[in-house]
Amino acid sequence: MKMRSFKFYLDEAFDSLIKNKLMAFASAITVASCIFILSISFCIAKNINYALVQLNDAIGLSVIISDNLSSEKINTLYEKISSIPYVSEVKFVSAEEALEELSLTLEDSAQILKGLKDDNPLPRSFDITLKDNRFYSDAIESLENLKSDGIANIKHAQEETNILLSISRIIHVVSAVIILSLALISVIIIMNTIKLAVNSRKDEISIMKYIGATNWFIRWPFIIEGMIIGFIGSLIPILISWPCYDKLVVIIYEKIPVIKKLFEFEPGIFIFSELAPIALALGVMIGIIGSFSSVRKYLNV
Amino acid sequence: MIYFNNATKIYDNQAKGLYHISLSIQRGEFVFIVGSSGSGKSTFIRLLLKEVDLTEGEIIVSRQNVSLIHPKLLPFYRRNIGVVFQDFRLLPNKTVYENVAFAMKIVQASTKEIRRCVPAVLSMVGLEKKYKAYPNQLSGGEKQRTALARAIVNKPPVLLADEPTGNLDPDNALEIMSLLDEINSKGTTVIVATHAKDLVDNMKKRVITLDGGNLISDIKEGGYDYEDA
Repeated sequence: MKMRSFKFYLDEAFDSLIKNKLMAFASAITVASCIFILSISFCIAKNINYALVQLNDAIGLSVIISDNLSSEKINTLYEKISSIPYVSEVKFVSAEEALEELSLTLEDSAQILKGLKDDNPLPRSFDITLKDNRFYSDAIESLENLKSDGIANIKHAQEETNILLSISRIIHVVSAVIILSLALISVIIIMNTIKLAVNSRKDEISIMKYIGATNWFIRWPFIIEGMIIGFIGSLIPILISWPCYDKLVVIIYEKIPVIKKLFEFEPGIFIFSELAPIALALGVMIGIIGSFSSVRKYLNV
Repeated sequence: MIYFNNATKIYDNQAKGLYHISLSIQRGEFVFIVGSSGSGKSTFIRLLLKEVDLTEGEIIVSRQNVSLIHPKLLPFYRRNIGVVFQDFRLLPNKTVYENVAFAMKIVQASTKEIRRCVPAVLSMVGLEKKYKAYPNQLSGGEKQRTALARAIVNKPPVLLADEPTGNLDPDNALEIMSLLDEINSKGTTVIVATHAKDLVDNMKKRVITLDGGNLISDIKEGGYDYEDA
């Protein structure tokens, strides 16, 4: 494409946007509404996912060390557990630390627990964090094989984890279906709006054809116009929904403080730094596809 | 320059557009195509523009067989043919200047050329003071003069006019015909499909008369002698 032609297409696109501002505005608003709904669904899906990750983290997996195991053997056991491929972190919890933790949990009975300080019945253990809780049962199986190395017992929540994993899978599928359906509906609505906009200018296209314009000469300004409409239409909901989301999270924390104890919302920066490029690319792509397919209909003159 | 050899156009509804027409038009000629509604005048113009295709025969324009022009090359063929319609077909969102300049932008003329040629052609059609006006701010005659300026700004060898005075009052119609005559005097081949009996009679140019798609007469310096006119 020649530089002169590119400048011409750009000028034509902007000129047409200004002169057909009402139709361009309608198209941009349609794009914005659809991307806005998409943003809301995306935020909800991301937060459900984030909550599940937090719940997953809360589900513990720990190994009780046999009472008579020497420090040397404990170290060997530590190394063996750490080398299990599903394990990301292993933390040694001494009997004293275990008692301290228990007294923090049972604040009311702290006095009773104080008496146990000299004769601590709690065992030493390893708190294990997995790379991914989907490998929970595999990790338990690997730990079972290490029982002869000084493991007295494995404390796990296999059933709870399985339930959580099933919920997580369902939510993933449901949110993917919702987002994909919304994206599809958006594309159809937006393409129809752009088609209407192009339809109102079909005479213009036929005039261009009569005076010898090539198909690409006619298409380019419309495509650039579609790109601009798509870009603006997807930028607006991002610019609106990001601060709104951050504000909403603050309000929810203020009004319902108990929520913060249960789970945290995913920070807006993480959600929107992922959503913004997707939304912008989607908006621009919809603009291009909408314009391209709409103009094609009127080019055979 | 333009040859119709046994040119026949039958539409899908079996209506006869043109029926076995053979004629030639030489470079620099001024030709009227006359006849009643449905006689084939517009089909004649549409075939030359390759807006519709022949059913039989051939049309040769500047040594090109129009039926064989590849769709991708059609825009380049059309750039050699200026065209003016009864309903003007101006771009409503562009000013007079922009409408004319647009035809030059299509052929990728430089800004310098556009700035030189557009005012000159607007001055020729008497619209130099209206260059900023939009089509809806113009009279019928002014709209047609703008369309004429757009049609000739790239200096095409052929100019087609389909009922160019159909929507104009007699004074404006006369003015448009004078402009077409002036353009023809500079060497452009001009083909005008029209109903305007008085204008045809006054101008004493070649007149091709069609009826039901058939060629009725082809007279040099003829008049509008079609009986149903």
